[in-house]
Amino acid sequence: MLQVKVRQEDDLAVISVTGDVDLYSSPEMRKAITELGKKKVRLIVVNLEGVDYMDSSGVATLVEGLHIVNRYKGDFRIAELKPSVREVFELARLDKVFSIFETEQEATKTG
Amino acid sequence: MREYFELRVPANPKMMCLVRKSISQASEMVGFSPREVAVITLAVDEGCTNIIRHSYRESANGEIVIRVRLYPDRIVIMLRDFGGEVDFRKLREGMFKRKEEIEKKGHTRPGGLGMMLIHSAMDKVQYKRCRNSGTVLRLVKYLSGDKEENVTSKGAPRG
Repeated sequence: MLQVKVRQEDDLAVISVTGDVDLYSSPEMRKAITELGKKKVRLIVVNLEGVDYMDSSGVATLVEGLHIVNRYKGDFRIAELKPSVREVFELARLDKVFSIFETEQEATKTG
Repeated sequence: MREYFELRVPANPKMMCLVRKSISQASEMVGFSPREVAVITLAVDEGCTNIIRHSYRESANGEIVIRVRLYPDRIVIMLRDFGGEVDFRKLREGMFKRKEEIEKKGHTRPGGLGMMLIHSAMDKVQYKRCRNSGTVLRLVKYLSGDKEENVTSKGAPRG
């Protein structure tokens, strides 16, 4: 079962995801991202520390998030990818498209 | 070694975690590294996702048959569906468009990533339209890394 927790402070939101992100579960993550996108939160960080497996549905959801946030010139970042998830980004050649950070702390730094 | 097993699952995203577990364990039995096990599992998951989305158009009544053969040097996985006709040329075009966007423009759209992952993960990728209905997707991964060229063909997949 996928768990998606959102923590928002002013113009920064962190989405912490735990579980496998696939065709069945990715709508949960999409819901959290699009809701924050509607509020035009300036910096959205998706923490994937708790994710061991992600398929193209999960990656596509993050691509969608990136587009939503880019539209209002916000910042969309992902953090704490496990090697198995980083591998998916590399296979899809998307590791250069996203701003990927080692830690949530680094990803939430602004300015 | 030439072990064989078959799974029949409803074309339901909820069931894919069971498919992933079986494929992952079968790949381990052949002797693939943890990284290779992960990419083989991903490719099969993406193949099933394409079946659910494109062959059955997310209707709840479809079935996917997964046949797995384990050889000393490779794993061969066949995904059979009984759904509608899928335009693989269009899917492949979508995949190449995504690749081009990522390489030239540094961004992409959400669709078409599944095909790209399947082709990146496996050594051999073949599609065959079946006479009555549906499609067979044949995936091969070699142990040694002796990569054959990725191909998509209408020819009959062999086990």
